[in-house]
Amino acid sequence: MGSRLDVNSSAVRKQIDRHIFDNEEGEEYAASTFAGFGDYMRRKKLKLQNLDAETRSSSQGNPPIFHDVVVHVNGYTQPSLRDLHHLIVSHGGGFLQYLDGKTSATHIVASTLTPKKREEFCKYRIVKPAWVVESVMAGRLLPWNSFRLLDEGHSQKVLHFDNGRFMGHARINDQQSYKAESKRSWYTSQARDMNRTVPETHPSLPASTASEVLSVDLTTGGEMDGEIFSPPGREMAADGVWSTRHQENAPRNDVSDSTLHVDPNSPRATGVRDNNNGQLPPLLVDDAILSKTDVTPEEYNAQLLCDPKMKNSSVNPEFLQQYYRESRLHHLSAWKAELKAKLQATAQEKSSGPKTAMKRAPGARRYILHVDFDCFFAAVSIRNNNPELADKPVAVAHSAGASSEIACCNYPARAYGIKNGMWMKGALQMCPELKVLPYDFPAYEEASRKFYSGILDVDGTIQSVSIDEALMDITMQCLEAGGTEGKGIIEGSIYREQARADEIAKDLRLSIMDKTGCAVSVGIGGNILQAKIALRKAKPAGQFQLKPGDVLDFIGNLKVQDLPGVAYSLGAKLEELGVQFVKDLREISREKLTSSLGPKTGAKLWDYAKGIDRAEVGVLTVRKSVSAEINWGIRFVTEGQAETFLQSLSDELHRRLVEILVKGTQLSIRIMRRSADAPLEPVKHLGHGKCDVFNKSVGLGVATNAAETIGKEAVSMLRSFGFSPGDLRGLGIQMTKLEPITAASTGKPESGQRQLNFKASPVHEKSLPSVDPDEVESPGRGDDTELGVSEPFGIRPSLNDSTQTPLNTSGTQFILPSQADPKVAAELPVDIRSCLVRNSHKRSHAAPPPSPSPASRFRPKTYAVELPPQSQLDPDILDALPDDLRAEILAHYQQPSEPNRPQIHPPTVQPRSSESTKMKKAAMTIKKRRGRPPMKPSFNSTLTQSNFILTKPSAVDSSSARSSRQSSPSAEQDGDISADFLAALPDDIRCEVLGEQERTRLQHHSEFGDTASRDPLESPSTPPGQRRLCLPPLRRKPVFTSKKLSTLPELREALTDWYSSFVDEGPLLEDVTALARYLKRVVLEEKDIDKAVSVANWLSWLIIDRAANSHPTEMQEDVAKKQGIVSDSSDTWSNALKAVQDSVASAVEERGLPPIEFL
Amino acid sequence: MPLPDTQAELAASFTKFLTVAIHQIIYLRSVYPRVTFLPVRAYDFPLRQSRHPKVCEYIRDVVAAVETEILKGTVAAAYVIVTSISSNQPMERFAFDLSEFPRVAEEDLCTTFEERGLATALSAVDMEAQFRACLSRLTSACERLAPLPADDEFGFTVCIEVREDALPPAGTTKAEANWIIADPGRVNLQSRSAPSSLSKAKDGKQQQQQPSPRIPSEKAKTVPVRRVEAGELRFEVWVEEARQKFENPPGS
Repeated sequence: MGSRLDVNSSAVRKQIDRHIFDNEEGEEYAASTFAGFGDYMRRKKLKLQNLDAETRSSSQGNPPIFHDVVVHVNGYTQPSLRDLHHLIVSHGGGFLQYLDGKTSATHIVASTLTPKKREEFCKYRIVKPAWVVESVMAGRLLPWNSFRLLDEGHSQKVLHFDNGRFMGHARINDQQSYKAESKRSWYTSQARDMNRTVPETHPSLPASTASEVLSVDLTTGGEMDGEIFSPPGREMAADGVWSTRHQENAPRNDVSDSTLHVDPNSPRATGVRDNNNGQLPPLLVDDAILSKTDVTPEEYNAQLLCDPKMKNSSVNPEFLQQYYRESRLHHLSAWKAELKAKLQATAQEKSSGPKTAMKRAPGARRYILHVDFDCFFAAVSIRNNNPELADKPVAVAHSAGASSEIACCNYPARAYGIKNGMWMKGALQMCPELKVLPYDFPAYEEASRKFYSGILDVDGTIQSVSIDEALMDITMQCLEAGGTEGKGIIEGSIYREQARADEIAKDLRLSIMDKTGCAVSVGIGGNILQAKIALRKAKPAGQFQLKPGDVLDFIGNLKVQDLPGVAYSLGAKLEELGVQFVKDLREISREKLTSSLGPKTGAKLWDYAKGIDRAEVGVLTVRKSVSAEINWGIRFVTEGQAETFLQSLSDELHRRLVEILVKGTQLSIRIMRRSADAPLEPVKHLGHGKCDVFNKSVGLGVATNAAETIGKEAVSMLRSFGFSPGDLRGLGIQMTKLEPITAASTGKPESGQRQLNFKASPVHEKSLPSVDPDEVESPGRGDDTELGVSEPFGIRPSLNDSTQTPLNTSGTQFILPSQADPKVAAELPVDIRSCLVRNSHKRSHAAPPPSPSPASRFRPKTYAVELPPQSQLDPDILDALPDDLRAEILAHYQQPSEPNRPQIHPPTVQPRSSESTKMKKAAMTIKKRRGRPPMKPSFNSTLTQSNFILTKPSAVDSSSARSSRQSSPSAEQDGDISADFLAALPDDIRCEVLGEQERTRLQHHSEFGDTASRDPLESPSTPPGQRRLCLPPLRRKPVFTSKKLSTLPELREALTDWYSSFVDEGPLLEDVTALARYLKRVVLEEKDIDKAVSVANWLSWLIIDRAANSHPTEMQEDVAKKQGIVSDSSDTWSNALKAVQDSVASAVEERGLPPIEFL
Repeated sequence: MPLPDTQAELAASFTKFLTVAIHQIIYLRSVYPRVTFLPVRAYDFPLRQSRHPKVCEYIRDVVAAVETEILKGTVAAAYVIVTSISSNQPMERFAFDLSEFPRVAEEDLCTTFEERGLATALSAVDMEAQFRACLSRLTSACERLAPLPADDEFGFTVCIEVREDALPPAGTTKAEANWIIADPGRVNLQSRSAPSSLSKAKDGKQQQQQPSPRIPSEKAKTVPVRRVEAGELRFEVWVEEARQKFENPPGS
């Protein structure tokens, strides 16, 4: 003690004690001053204390047990603030209505605290109202510790020991809800006491007796270690004020370990397997149990499980297997998954064929079939077992019991109003003679297999929707029939396409009828949505094609619920928006739809309303999650059972994960808990009834599919909810964020360690078997690569596929070297040689230079042998050559040695590094058929190839001459092409060469000045490697005066100067004509009427301005003297203006436009 | 963003501007009720845009058709013509003279133009400034036009004028059938050769216009708008009034 708490509160205490209330004459009853809120509050508190003093004095009979206590009450309590107040004050305590500071009260009474206050108050004495009540009952001040609301450090888990045995972590059950509080509260118990015959427990009953009572209660309750799950109603049996006490003591009294522990393996729970396949008379049990109103869910479950027939519960270790064995839904979904995998395989097989390579044009017409069995189960069951029932109402269900669901019913039954998913009870009321058939899964599977085999016979993309329905895309076949690409319309093509679609559908129906003996219906439409809607009209046993023209009307008249994917909840939402029919949907804006239904659903419905469905047939969606969930038959008594069950569910999940070869990194648990107001047993036997659903997920960090890890995480998540096991109605676990298991780790589930993924080295890849079988077999292959002869074949893997490899057409199995020694080649047999030659041809085609340069097209076709240096040329041989050839060769040798060649791209020039390169280039130019004459370029011989291309941006272009002037100032060289050389050229080439030369020269002469001024700007700014389009030069803008004025501000300035300098004497005629001529050109050539008009207007402004400003003054000053001149000049100016305006107007008229209006 | 430097970009820039201009024109000339236009900004300039979906769609289609023609290099000018509904006569013509657009072969549509090395390098901002100025001048030019007869309704059409040497765009395929060769007797498109749109009619009937603060002359006239020059994007805009605008007195 001696803490601040004590000091402050005792001060308050003393102050309260000291305060004596005599009458209402005290200072506090005076009027308060204006704005004296502080004073007001102080007085108010004083007055409240006056009240307390009165109460205290009036209840002298009570023991002053709260003598040293000052209490403040926070929030809602039971008993109420008023009652507590009275209790405390009448027992000598002090009471604070207003908590000035946390330390001024010794105790704070509260039932619950907000999290913030929890933090703030955690160091103070926060007690439950029961402390006051019980202290009063006990007639002494009970230690507040046993009533503390907050535990110091309550956020920590506390170890629990029970009889020296470690029980595991438990959490103090300190977070009571108001409801919980009220249930075991003062009033409730008082109210209950009224109804009870049990005599009121004596208020002064010692605490030890109380705990005995408690243990008895618990024992009968059949609790094992369920304190964690202590349900609110559990203490109902406890009496009166003690109930609160029990709550407090219970965690420390884990008494009843042994009494009613239901062992999952005990014979009672397992029971005898019932052959009657789950037909229970459950109502008997229910009645028996429900008659006992205040049982806990655990008790209830325990009793339920005691029933010997009760083997269908989750407590049974066999349950899961049993469940999955018999669950119809599970069976079907597993089957569907299998089918999907199968279809995927077939689709892949097909797509490797050439047919699917055909691409569909976007926006083309489509033909989708939706094929569906009519009442699949019923039809198959009838055909197989009871053909005589075909015309009678038949339903397929688990049993004829009232509570079994109808899985499928045939059309005669539907006529009675029976629907799939209905309960048998209702169905039998509608149609007493309904015949119920059991499931016959093998037959269904058989029928489905036949169904799919029939579907697979039809050519097209197939997507399985379920075991008895499938979507098919038969666009290709229909378009073939129509003879179009699906876009344009040839006469009658649409009709033929539609007829073809109908025909396919009819054949399909007949073939399936033939195979399975059951009818299918087919809907045909332009997309999946339309096909599905058409199917509805097609049923039963028919087909219907929804034609493009009818789509909008047809869909518009449907109810929204008829759209696929719209059911009750979505339908209800739409009804709120005032939508009943699909056409109403079209009235709503897309924004409104997306905002009220969510972006995806909204957009989808919006599209649906217009008959648009973007889904594609056969597009496989990647699986994003794997889960195992059971919501039926979940009845636990103990937490252990729930956890065992969860573990076996984890095993199941593990099995499924392994099945599809994935691991996941996120685990979610989904728990269905019986709603507080739901009965213990729902209508459907062992169903889940009305539930609250809780979800929680945890990231595992490492992808796993290990059953133990999953189980551990799932169990800890379940524990974290702290639900009573008896209230659990459904459990599910789901793995998301899936990763595929790599082939290496398939065998052993997971190592728990991340593994670095190294990319397979290229070497490794190279060692993979080649696509070309010939090549693998070829003995010559190794040599080929080693020699490094043919770069594109040997080294580059990207080219190393069958399309690029030359096919071995001539029957030799040797891969031929592409650069063969001519001598060797000559020795070869004829066929191989021919092959060789062809090969080298091919090569020069197959490996074009990477640039799209026009020059590259003219690479030599016959491969040129590199020229030896000139010095090594044998003059004799040269002499022996024909004249033209000799000239050609000599020309090549001349070029590179030509001195003082201007170099345009010095940095990119390849210096005289390799003589051979030059030779090669030179040789190539010779063979060129078009383009530049070999003489001209300076570039050809020394530049690298890319530069060569660059400097000739548009050699093919007709305007190439113009561009070439920019980059080649070598007109002089062009001029002196040797006559020899020209003579040696073939006629057509010579003409070209001469023509080009002429053009170039003309260009230079005509635009020399221009070019000279531009060139320095242009050549450096050309980015390399890109072809540029050269535009015709701009028409030069007409300019005014020798200063070459063109822009409007310049012109205005010039006009102003002109006017101001000639204002008095009037403008010179030639100036006016010049301006007029210029403005006319502006209109006609520059095509800027606005500018011309503006200039003319500017002139008129100047004149008007002058007249307005200076005229009056001048008039007064120099009336006589200047009169004549001024009027003269102003006249000449207005004449000038008129001339200018006329000139502009005539120009405008010349352009064929209506006249201009000047200022 | 640089200036448009391929034919395709050039056409795209112009057609975007044309779209904006058409909206503004039909707003300014009250072709449709002014309440159906929303204030928007384009090129950082306050404008009006029609919010009627059909109108927008029509403009979009028309502009797309113009663009294909520009890409073919056949367009000499594009006109937005405001016509009277009652008489089906043109009233006003907003001309976009494109004769200086480069002509480019089809395979070179996306080839970058050779730079001309002009002294002042322009940027896209300058182009926008040009557009902005042009739109601003368009607004003021419309003020200078004689008001349209108050008791008539108006529609608008978009026409192109092809170059002298180009083939008419109307063809056999469906895409080409978007353009209808106009009946020369009814709508005067070829202003160069058709003087009927010229108001040489100073002798034409003088009509009583309702008095307005600035009385416009009652003859047809040309109101220059502006020339846009931004790199290769060079065109001129002006407005012409048709003689027919003054021939039908409002009362008759």
